[in-house]
Amino acid sequence: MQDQIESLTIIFSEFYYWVTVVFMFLIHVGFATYEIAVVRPKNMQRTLMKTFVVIPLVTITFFFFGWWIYNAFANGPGITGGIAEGAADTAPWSKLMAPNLDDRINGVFWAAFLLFSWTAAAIVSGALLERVRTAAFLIIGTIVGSVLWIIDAAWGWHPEGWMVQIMGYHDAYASGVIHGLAGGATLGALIVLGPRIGKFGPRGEVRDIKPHNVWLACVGLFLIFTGFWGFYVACNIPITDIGPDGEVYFSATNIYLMPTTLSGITLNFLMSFSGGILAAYLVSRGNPFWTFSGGLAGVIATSSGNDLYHPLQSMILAAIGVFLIYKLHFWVERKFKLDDVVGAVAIHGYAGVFGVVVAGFMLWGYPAAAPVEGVTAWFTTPDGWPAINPIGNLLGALIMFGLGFVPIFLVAKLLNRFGLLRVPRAVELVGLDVHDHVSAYPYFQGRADSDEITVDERTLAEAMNHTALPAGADTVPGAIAREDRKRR
Amino acid sequence: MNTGVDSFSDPASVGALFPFAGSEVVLVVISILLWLLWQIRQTKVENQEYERALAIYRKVGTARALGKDGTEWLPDEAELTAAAEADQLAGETEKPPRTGD
Repeated sequence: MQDQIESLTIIFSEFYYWVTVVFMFLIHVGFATYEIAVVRPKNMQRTLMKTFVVIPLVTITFFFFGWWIYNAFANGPGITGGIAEGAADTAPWSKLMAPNLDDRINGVFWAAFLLFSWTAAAIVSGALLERVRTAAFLIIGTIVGSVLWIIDAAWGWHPEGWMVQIMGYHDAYASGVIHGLAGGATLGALIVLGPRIGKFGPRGEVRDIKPHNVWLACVGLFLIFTGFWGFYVACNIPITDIGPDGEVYFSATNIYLMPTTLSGITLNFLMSFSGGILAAYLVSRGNPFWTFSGGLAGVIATSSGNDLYHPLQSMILAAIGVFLIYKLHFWVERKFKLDDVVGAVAIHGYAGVFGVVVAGFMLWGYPAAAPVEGVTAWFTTPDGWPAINPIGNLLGALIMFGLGFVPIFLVAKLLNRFGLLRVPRAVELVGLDVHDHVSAYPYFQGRADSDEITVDERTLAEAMNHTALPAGADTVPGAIAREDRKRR
Repeated sequence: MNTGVDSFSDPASVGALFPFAGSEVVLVVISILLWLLWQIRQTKVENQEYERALAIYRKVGTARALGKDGTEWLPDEAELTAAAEADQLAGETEKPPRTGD
């Protein structure tokens, strides 16, 4: 660093991203707290391990190939060019992926993107609770966190990404890039995995398996909101010169290097958060879980355009989005018997798709990014820059959701083929923790066969007594464990 | 002897700060192998865990294990097994005589 302005800019940016990483850790404190709270006591410890161990796995694999994918695949490759220049600096064997006086910021950017990767993997986790094998989730989480989301980030969350340059795709705070993709991946896994024992009654009626600690679930969601601040600010470049040739004009920008202000996104984050909560409170009739989740869904439903919306637009769009995704969640649950423990497909998937599609209309004609030479956009601004448009964002939303759904559906099918997707039925009944670990609440005496779910569990357990066979469990839909398959 | 940098008098010419610069490719290959081995080992350990759990549930009865919230303690397992054997014995005693006996 030789120039004083350059030095100050780099040091400020280093520190800025470094702080966002610290904040984003809170998302995962929140996820861990929340997931432990929503499961029954018999599953708490395995749930915690599953949620926690995916973090180092995504970290090391993001070092091995994730960061390189983002920097290499903006052109497709093969759509608007080959492997992008400069990607070599982000390969795991690059000398710049280590302490090096020739580079100050590679690792800090890497960490900011890594924390997005953790989030993508963690989103999938909650829906599969109480019956997925840890190994299966770790494989799925690694694929989502270190491969799939970062491919779509290279395509649609990069100033030179082909979706941005050709389609005019705009998704400033990752409604589709992270939430839509992770929601699609969650749906793909859920379809193969099947519901928890007891979730649906004999006539197909939906049963509410309560969180074992509603208050802790809400604290977890509050922590996720706190971490979301780090996520939001990490999606910006805090200071860069965007002036025309020969003129200096410093501004914060979005990920596409288009101008925004930290003031604007602060307003929009809080207003969309509020719109989502208020709508969720009404539509769920004050259900604490959905009211808190509504805040999250409200932010996600507006994140695509929160760099540019008016705060009141954000608030209203968030409320509409939350109303729709709430209704859609319960309709899908009833109609397709989908047991999404935390509503992740709705809160992330449906809200993410909604956010991307709406931004295409709301920001129609805005510049998406500075043009790359030799690439022709479908729609352009009067200056000849790729323009945001409804078609680009509608197709973009489908690409994001599909890029999560299709590969993970296939991976889940493959895992299930080897009996490695779901735990054995007897283990699911008795609990994931109890055979190998001391009970999480060893002195807790509150359990009673007081509702339909525990009565059903007891009946099924008696049917498989001394065999641990899934005899009575044949009626339970979903993936079959390798141990159950062997004993048939 | 030094493993990398022996002077900071000209920072602009230092570049890589880590020791054994030039070994990066080998480090990456070893690390990827370690990751894959970890994943395989974790899957095996989890499979063994479920086999062990199912063996216990077959012995003591799934319903009894569910009622006890598990069998994590050896004394519990012994107690549950004894109860299961007593049940079995009682069942045999109470068996109705066959016709013609």
